[in-house]
Amino acid sequence: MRVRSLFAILGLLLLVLSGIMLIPLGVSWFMGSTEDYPAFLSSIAITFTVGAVFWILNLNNLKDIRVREAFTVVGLSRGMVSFFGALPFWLSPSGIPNLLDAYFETMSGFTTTGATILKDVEVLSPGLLFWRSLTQWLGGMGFVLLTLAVMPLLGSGGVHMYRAEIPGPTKEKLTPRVTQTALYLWGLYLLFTVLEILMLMPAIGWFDAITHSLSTLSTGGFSTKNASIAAFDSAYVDAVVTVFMLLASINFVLHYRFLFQFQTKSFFDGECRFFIGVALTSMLFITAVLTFVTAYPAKSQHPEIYSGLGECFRVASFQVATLFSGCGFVTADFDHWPNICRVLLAVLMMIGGCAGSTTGGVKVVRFLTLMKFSLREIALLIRPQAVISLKLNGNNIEREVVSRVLGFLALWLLLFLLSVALMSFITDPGWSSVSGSLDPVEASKVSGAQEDDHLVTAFGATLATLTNVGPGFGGVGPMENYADIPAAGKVLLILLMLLGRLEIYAVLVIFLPFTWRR
Amino acid sequence: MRIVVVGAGVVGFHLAEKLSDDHHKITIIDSNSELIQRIDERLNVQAILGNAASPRVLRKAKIGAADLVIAVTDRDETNITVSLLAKHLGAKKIVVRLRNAELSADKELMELYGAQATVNPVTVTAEKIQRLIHNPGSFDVSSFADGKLDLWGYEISKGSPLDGVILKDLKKRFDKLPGLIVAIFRDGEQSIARGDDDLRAEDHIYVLMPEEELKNFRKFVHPESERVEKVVIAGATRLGLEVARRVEQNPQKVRSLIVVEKDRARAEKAAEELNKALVLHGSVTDTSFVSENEIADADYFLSLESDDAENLTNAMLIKKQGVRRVLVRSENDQFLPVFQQTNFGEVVNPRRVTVSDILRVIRRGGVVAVSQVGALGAEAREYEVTESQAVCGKKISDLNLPQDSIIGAIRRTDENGGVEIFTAVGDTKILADDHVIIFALPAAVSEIEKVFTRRRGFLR
Repeated sequence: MRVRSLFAILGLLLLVLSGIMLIPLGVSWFMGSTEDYPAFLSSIAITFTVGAVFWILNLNNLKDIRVREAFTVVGLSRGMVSFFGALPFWLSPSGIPNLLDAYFETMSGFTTTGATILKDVEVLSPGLLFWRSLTQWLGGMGFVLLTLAVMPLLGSGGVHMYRAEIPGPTKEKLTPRVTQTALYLWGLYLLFTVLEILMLMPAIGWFDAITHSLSTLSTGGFSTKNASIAAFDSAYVDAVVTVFMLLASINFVLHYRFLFQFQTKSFFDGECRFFIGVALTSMLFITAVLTFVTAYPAKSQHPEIYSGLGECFRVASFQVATLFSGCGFVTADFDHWPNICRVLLAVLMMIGGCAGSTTGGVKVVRFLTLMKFSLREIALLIRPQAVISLKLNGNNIEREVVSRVLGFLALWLLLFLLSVALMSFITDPGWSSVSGSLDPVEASKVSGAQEDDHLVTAFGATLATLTNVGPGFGGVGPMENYADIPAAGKVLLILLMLLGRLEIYAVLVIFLPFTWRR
Repeated sequence: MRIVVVGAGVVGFHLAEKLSDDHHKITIIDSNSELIQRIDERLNVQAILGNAASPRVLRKAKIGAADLVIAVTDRDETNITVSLLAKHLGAKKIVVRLRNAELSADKELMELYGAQATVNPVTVTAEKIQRLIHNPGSFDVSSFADGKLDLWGYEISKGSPLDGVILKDLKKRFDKLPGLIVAIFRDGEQSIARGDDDLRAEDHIYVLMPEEELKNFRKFVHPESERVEKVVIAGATRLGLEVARRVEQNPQKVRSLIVVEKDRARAEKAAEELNKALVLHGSVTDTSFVSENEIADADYFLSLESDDAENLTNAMLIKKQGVRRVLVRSENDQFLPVFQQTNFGEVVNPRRVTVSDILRVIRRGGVVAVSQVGALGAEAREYEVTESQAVCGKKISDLNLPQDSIIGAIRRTDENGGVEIFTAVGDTKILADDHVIIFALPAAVSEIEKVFTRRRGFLR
């Protein structure tokens, strides 16, 4: 491991970050909230100083980047950037006094999770609210990728970092040069964001339009309102946000080809078709269930009642889009919907959006590959001599890619199950009262949940963070937050967010001694 | 015409033979000394030994003075190189054989390397096989007159209204029956169809008809709606894959398409390239494999391996298992005696199909197309008549055609460029630029050749 080149890049990233922090400072100045000045100014100063030191000391090593440095940088940088990004929250008088909580919140931002520890979001100053949304936007298309786009200093090392940061089993470059690809992707991302801002502005004003657009396109889900998108209570806003969440879940390479190279046919490739098909089916299914529950309220135990078919479709489609894309805005308490809907939504969260998008989860293409693989196994049982190739878009999926995908899914599942076990242990009411930490029993009572719901909470919290969705089930449901999770649980969830966002491997390499061996 | 044939394989050999019979001056080039020697001994052509992709060898063959260059070596790359060099050295017209469909189908590319026409043996053979598969009851097809006229081989099915009809009553009884029946094959005997002959069920007949009439004809010869629902192809060769691809794309639904390949890697490649077909790794000579995968249920079995002996074995075994319709690919004539047994199945020879296709492309006086009909050596030929030929201006009844032949149709172009295809009768006069389509039994083939290649003499 070439530690010096590692520090050089990390320094570079911090310098870029300190520059970007000027934006929320500007927002604070514009909105006249002077109390944020010291927090932002000192954060910028600290970040800039540390970055400059890293950078200047190791300037000459910048181009010595191999695959392992690239992977390590991508893994380490999110953790580090989140730390420096947490400083404004921690330092501001109206912010988050606990450093771990501030770190959780920022990590949730940079990994586009949208899980919050804030019981009341609206008390934050405008500058902090803006910074909160901006961290998601930066994390969405990848902070490293942004640095590649704006500072093409890294030479061939950039290619490795691009591979490490873009989600999905196979990585396609738009152009022969990675810096140009990064620039195009970020340009497109910016274009979509501006488009959404323009569409939302007339309905909810510029500040909310910008902050919500930033967290829509990144499929992050931080809102400036406690009630999230439901606060606006506007079908128009719901519709716009739904469309842009779905757009953000589709491979940006496809978007680029569609918009700038007019390749209309290839836009609806196998993955995209499957994504749209599953999304629409789920929307209709949940609409039907909710309509049924509304029609026969006496027979059901579910308190959520919506007026009429239109209302049912509105909440169903929004919730499907927000959970499938891993965005995490809410307009309805889906945790109190019939169980069939909750399970379906949990499955959608796991699958997530398409490869090459800003979403979390295991990605549609991996799920498709798994399905095709399983179908082939069944077919081979019946016809042992058959030779069947796995195809996607008419092309053969190579054997190595298949085994990589299966390996990833197995690892993902293992990680998920272990984390649920660990999380349920940490949040166990009995254990917590002994350890003297915050009492989730008390918390559950406040939130109206049953005492033995802690397993659902553990499941929900693990799922929602590993898939970078945000709101989960039980104690961390759509109307709840992560404030009452014990400290150990928060540390675990922070790690899960990072693992989910970087598709496990880029994080795990950091912990392997093999990586650090000379 | 001065013609240079590059490549002395089976196709090159047959081309040289046919064209030399038409009094063209042929030079043939090949790097294999045995082949060159064989040609030198048997044909009246100039044979040159050497690498055709070398300008020195091509100059030696006087390629610059050639009216036509035909590049038919085994390798696409060599053929393209020859085309480029021949164009550079001044050859007038170039025809190349290309197996890669991406190369052969691209007109712009063709211009780039200077060829006027390309012939793809895989495509033309696959097209022929495809037509056979989709027309139940048919066992042979070849095209004449620029594809406007087809010679179909059909089996008269048991329930056909044609069963028991005397030929001269045919037009009276079925006024909607299109085409002209030219030959009847029965019990291994083949004869030209004459007015007094009768038709019986299970006869194999050859009939000439315009392309669009096939639908109307099928009602008569094969009225029951037999469907080809399951097709099995043995051999994921280039031809096998091309046929499979065409069957997949055809809207007429073949419900089950199976490709059997004995080589694992080739089977995997086939599975990648095909979308709906079921690819099996195994061999049809393995009886348990055949029964387990229900291969004997096939409505049509095609053996398209590159080895003739293997195709023969496959076909015989599968036929024994009860598959009624079998088609084999055969490149050489070594197994003709076996195929000559009646009702063995259909034989497609890609080389012959290629030769016929190349002749069609050349189309300048003399023979335009030749099709082997059945396995007993009968042929259908299309001749273009020029002023200098003896037949020009004569009535058909005056031609003294041999007993075992029949003029099926004439394609005539009038002054305005309109094309007319009609059935010839005794009074019909043959004019210059006519295309005459003739069907001949083996005994008459060489006689026909003489009649149509005879020059107009001074003493006439």
